[in-house]
Amino acid sequence: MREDAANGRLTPLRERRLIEEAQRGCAESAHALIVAHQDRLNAFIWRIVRNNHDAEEVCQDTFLRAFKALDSFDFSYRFSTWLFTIGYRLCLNALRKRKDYSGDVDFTSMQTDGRGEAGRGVLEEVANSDEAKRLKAIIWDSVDQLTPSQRATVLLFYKESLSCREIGEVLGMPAATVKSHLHRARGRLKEVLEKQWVEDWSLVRFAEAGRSA
Amino acid sequence: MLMTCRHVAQLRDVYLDGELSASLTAEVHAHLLQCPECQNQFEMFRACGELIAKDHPELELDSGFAGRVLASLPRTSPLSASARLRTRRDARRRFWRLLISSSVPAAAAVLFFSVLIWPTNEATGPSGLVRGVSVEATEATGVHQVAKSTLNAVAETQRATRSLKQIVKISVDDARRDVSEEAQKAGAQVQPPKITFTDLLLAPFRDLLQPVETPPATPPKPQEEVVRF
Repeated sequence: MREDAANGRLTPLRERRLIEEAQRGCAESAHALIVAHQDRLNAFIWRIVRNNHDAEEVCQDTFLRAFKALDSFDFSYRFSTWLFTIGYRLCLNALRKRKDYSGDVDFTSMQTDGRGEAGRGVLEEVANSDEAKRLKAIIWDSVDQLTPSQRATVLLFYKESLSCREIGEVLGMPAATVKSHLHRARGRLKEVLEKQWVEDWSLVRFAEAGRSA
Repeated sequence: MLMTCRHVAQLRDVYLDGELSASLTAEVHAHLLQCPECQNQFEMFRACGELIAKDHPELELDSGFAGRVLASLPRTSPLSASARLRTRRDARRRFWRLLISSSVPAAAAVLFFSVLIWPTNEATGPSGLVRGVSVEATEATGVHQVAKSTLNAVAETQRATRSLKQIVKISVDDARRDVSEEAQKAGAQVQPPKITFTDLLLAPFRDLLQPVETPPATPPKPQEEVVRF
């Protein structure tokens, strides 16, 4: 079954057809829906649970629950938003099962590489330069140190381009709370990144789909 | 009057959320043009947003993930029976692709090597004469030998093809039986499709023969561009 997609995403009409066919029991359509959404969903879940095994398990459970409740899916919502909603709740369940989960942000434990006057320099424009890689690692570390709800907010806002209202639907909180999470997350990022003494952030550019692992 | 750095800092989050009014946005921009420190800070958030949006350090799921999800569906799910049929059909397709892809070069190799290793005329002497027969006659004999060995190889291939047809017939019958059993188990109302030898041969190429879906006539609505920092 072929999928009409730009950047690997289904068009709304195509997606609606696949969902209706899957509701009638068509495995091909269900398969196509999974393939269309699995990478984005996995990326979001992985960032929350930070564990490969848990991420795949949560991702699989998310789809299973979605297909179980597919008959009650409301077409006024986006299918991806619905998947993220289910996935986020399963992520919180997975985190609660872990012994080391506290839910608090330990910002003071972050390793920061503060540079003095001698270390200031102009960054190269190429995303794969050593300096850019170092900054990538620091930014992602900063995101990972946020609370799960702050992290989810940041990911859904920047990666999925959801509005604060949509993020609120996924996370089960008012839009005002989402904004509060977002602002707090930005404040924490600012605290960490200002110590990096980057002279000119306008030169820092990150290319599309760079695999930094 | 231009905005101060403190004022811009207070409006920063609303600006980055994309919810600042046009007039205040213009004032913020005017301040950023004059203040390198505030501008650098906004560029920092721009870089963060860009990285989070574009960088994908996570591991990808393997190609079998979707199949595993469908295989894990409970038996009571309407998708479950359809998924099991799909799995068996995919397994059958893979088997025939392997068989076809390996039998053609195998048959060609048999033909090629049978021609090469077929015993030649051993009565040829160093001078090229055989009991008074000329070189030209010997060469003619050699061509005859090659033709004879080729005909033998063709006969062998025909025998192998007949055996293959028998195997295929048995598999077609098996496939029909399997589909009927599955349909009965699933309580399907629809008659199981009749499977012919041609269906099985063309199965690997079915995707290529599917008609291409034409795109919708109306262009997609352009999305409103939101610059996110």
